[in-house]
Amino acid sequence: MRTLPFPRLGRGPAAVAAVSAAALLSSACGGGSDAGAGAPGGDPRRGGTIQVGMPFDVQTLDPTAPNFASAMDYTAARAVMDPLFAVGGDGSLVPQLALGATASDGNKTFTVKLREGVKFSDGTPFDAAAVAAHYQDIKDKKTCLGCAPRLMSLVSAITPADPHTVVFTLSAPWAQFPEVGLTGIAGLIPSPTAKRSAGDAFGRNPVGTGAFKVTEIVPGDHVTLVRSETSWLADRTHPDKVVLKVMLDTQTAVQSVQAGTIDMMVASQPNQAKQAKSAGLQVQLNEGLSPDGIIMNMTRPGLDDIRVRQALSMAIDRNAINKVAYNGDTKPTTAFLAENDPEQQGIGVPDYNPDKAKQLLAEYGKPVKLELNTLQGSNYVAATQLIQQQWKAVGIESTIKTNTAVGIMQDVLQRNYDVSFSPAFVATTTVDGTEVAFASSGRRNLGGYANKANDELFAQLGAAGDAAAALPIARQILTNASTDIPSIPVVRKTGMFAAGPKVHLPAADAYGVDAFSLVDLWTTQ
Amino acid sequence: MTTRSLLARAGQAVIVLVSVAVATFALGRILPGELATAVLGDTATPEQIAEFNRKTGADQPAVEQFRTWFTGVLHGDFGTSALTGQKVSDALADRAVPSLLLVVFAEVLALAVAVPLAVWAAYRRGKAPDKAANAGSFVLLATPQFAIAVLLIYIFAVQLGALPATGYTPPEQDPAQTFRTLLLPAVTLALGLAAVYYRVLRAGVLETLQQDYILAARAQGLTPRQVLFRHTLRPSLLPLVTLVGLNFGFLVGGAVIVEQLFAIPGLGTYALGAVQTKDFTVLQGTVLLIAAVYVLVNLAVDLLYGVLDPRIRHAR
Repeated sequence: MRTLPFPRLGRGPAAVAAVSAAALLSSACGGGSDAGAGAPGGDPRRGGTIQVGMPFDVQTLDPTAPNFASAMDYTAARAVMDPLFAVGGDGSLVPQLALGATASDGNKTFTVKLREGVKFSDGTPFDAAAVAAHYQDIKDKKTCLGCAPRLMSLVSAITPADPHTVVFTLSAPWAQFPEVGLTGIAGLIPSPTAKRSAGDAFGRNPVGTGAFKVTEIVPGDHVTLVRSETSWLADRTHPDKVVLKVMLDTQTAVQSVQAGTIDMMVASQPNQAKQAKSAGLQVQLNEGLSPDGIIMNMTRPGLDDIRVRQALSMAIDRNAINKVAYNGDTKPTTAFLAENDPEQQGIGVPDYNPDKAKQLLAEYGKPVKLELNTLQGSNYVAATQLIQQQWKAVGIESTIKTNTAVGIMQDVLQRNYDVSFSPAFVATTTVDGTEVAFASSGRRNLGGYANKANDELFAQLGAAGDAAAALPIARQILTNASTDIPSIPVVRKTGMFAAGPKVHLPAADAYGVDAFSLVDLWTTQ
Repeated sequence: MTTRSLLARAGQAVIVLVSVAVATFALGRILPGELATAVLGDTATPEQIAEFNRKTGADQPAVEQFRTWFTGVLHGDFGTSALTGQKVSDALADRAVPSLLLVVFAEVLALAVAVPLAVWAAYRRGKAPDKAANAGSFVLLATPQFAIAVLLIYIFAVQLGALPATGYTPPEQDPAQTFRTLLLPAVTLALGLAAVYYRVLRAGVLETLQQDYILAARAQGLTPRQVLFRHTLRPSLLPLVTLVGLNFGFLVGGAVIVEQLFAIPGLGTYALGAVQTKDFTVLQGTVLLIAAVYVLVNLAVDLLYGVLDPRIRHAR
């Protein structure tokens, strides 16, 4: 038996099986920071309105909906709904609506103790029945793309033992269940009463226990949040109101902060960081949750051949992409997880070697022509154009198709793609979290990758009782994936926060992995 | 324009709109990708997909789907976005206002600059003012909108603090702030338009100035102002009016770059998002609305032809 919260396996934040773009920005874990350069000093102040420019539109605030896809969705939903556990900057689980959890029966039963006296903003009580209803909803609907697939397949029963204790019974051992299942998107608990009442419209009328309530959602323009005075977080929530404004252009978003039209902005790409710094704004660069890279539809001709996949990886000059497309603000990488993670150290897909790539393609002996999907935005388009050139240099022809985050997700979900250059394409920081991408039946295994050895290893990983036992299994999974190359890491990117002088940004490591926390912001205006 | 020809034009407009409705509806069915999979995800069960199709009417024959949708349109109901759950008619109402205001504002600004400048430059053909105006119009035509936008924001919002850099305030909240928020985007659009309008009208005025009746007017001793604005401008306006009408219809749904740069929730970004997410209900409604604007504006342009040139009116 073990009791949580406890540190996760390995280094870095725990797994959050978030959908790509949501993970991209909501995951501001450690990184370079110039916060404080022009920040207000003194104690936090209560009150005021903070306007935040966000680089994505709002689709839905229902985390279990399949189109819950953007950083805007996640940031707003995270402000309205609290998770059972958050993930701290050091990767440990931080109690939120849950106070702790106890594993028993060989990691097949988890007893979660809930915080008492908490209410949803509609006045209904937060209790074990609400938690059970939420997880049962995830199991029944099976539409939560940000939830780990094991939640649907392994959790066999969710039982309220008493009003403040809920017991999860699993059909097989899963040691990382708390880190994967009780945090992130799956861990956000909605009011079951409001969800029943609103039905499909819950995404536009979300109700939770969070520090804020939604007062207005205008797709294409903004989401308005006001402090919830009945929230258990009300005393430590500083702003009266936060307006998340859709600002798709990063350049004019920075100018808007400079001009004072908005108070701060968030960007999925750091290319305006130098401009923002030179303008005297507070700037934080935060290392992303997972690398930008290329996922491949391995059912397409050519991509079903390991030599072609190796050649694709070896043709990419990651240093050039970092310098040209990202102004040197990213880390070139061949690793799925952080390079210094003990699970990942020394393991990676083949690095730049154009001569070897040509040799592999010659051995393959057929022309390779691909459509290369990419996200709108100058960095992504520039990176993709460079990749196109680098592939052409070794004899691989490609055409580029740009799209929105949701559009790319839809193409990929429908297998209507060859290769796709995507942000946060692994969307996790632990091997356990990679199961969604690297297991044959993984929900985000979007290219038809299948390796029976990895499937068995994931089962063993779930049964491993401690970090020491899990480490060699994790390394073997990553080794297999790096050999099979179902996807190609390219750069580990940084997100950017920039704020004017009236807004206090908490230190970067205070964000944790799953929270761009609106609670911690405060303003002097 | 006679009542009969007006009715004929109205009939043509109806045919155009119905054709657009049919074409956009068919396009949504031809494009690859099933809406249910797009919305529910690839692991949706057959039961979930069937339930989704039943709720959205996608399980009905295409003709029946079109009939249901088009009947709704005739009653002002454009359907519901499968992705956001928002009623398309509500979204169109919200999005059309900033788009229309922006385009009207930009057109007025462009014409206010281009018309007097073109007349003046044509009158002073080959002189320094004409050359300067020509050079200026070339510079504006060659400058991309995003560069103009960034420059305007830098000067008027960042440095002078006179205007908001981005955003949009609905007129029902604060009309003065609506004007302030739309001024920079309107100027961004207007500068490009003005350059085109200037060149078209200048050419028209130059041609008209060669006509015999202008010579006669001058011989009668009319002042240059009278010759230019009473006898030259009106017949020179026909190409410009055509262009303004076409641009108006285009910009209502096509000012995507300016909308994105200035964070304006207009029809352009709405339509673009619908294309990229295959949200066909939104796409159909948006295209139909933009087509309606096109038809109405061009009908107005046709009416204006008759006002500007009596020969056209009498020929009908």
